[in-house]
Amino acid sequence: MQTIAEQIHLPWRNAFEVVLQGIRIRLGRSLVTLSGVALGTAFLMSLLAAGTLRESVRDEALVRDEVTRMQNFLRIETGPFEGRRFAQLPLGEPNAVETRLLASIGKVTPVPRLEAGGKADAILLIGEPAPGAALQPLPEGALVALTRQAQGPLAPEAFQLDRELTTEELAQMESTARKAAARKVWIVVIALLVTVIGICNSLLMSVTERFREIGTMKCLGARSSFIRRLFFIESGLIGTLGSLAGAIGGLLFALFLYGLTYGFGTVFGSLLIGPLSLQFLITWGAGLVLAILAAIYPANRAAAMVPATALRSNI
Amino acid sequence: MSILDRLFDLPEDNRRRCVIRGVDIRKVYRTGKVETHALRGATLEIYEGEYLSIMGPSGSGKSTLFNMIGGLAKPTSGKVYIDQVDIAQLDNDELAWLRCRKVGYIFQSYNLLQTMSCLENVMLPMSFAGLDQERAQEKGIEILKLVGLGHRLLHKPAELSGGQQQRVAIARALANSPGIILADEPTANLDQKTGDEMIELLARLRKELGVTIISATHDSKMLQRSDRIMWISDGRIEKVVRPDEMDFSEHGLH
Repeated sequence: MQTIAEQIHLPWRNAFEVVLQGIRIRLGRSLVTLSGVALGTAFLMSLLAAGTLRESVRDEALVRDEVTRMQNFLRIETGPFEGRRFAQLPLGEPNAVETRLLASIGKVTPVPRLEAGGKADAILLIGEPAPGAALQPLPEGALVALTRQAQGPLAPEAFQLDRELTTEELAQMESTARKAAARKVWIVVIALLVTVIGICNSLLMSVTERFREIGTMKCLGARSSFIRRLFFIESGLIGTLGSLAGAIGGLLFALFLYGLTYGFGTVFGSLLIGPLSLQFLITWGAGLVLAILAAIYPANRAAAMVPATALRSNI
Repeated sequence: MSILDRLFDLPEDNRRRCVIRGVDIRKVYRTGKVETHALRGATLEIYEGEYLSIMGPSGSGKSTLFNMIGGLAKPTSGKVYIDQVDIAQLDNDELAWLRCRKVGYIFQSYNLLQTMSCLENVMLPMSFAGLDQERAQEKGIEILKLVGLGHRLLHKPAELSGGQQQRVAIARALANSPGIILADEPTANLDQKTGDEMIELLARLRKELGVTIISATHDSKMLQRSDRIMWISDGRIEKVVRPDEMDFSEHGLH
């Protein structure tokens, strides 16, 4: 009996060429699969990047949060701002939060300085009071709102806008944030799963479509590992390019969104390049890994095909 | 071999080397609980350089036998020796090795890879055999010239006529200089004239290269050119005849 050698392993280059030709022919579907991967990873990237960008515009965001909170507290006391007579009483230099607060109320209704003997429904004390300072007499029945803790001793009955949050409020906020984070994780997981299923489905279609082609290659002496490799390369290529596009797209989307909200100067002036690059690489890698995971089942199905199918299958 | 010699009534010309030997080949397909006996014990010998035609109605086990002797599937029981090698003993990779070097396949519907040029199609089995690109290209061009397609090297299969595609397929089957060519109804998809050309080409290759040609066919012209005709019916080899012993008016031949 003569000896049968083991069939040689083809270099990756050959498989790569076969795959490239295949992708060129089935360009339409490859692009659809690729955009699926891109969308899934773009989603992941934009969420990751949003976290980092939020960190970089943190001061600005804190001011905004504070202004919003003060506005809300104020609205609880005064009702809607429209038609109310507001007035401000400067005690010192206004800080960023106070300036913003005045500006935002000013959009609805003017907030003039309180003249001696003037009338107002609500009076905002602005700025740090000098030590030992006393308040001028305020109009009867007006609501007095304090924007700083230090203003407290001046008007003990006044309404405090700059409040320490109570433990309950803090707990509430934390729980809301936790829920939002969990929801985000859930959506990302779903998006990535859909991506994996999309690739898997596309490759399975590719297997069915290429029944005869695979069978023929097996008849010509292709090893099962060569066939398997074809599918891993195809999906690896789609994964690499798709998740690269997705990572770029997601990052740009997040930058654009934060730029619109906080101003492009603020966002780009304080970019945290390190963490963003890391997240970019993580997203890119995750896309690639998922693409390869998605190829396992289709590749094994193709590799397990019996060469005789090439003779009969008319698909 | 002496036991086999005694066991089987070999034809007179057994001085010739036997390239394929099948001993009591049985094949059972199971679909759920239903068993289909595609082959019920086929014993045959095919000799080097011979032109054997296999015919039989559909469902006769013809394709199954064809797959067995081509190393495309393993029998349920019985032995198939291709070039003295028992294929039941081989694992998948060894079978791939065998298919790559020992057998060339020609399919009814050509089965060329549409994504590749003619030359690349012919070079593919050579890559599988480990030939480097340069020599594979040289040899591919040479073989395509041999089948009369030296001027169509870089065309895609879709740009060629059916006859030309089948020539590429024949060139591809010859790529690794196999001893055996297995052709599954190679003329079925071709018109009369192109079919005749294909038969001539196969006959010429057999003469020039000394390859063994086994074809499943109902083409009377092809049957007439063969050395022996094997008639399969109901999973058994019913008879093996020479073309001059056969009445071509029966069996619905064309």
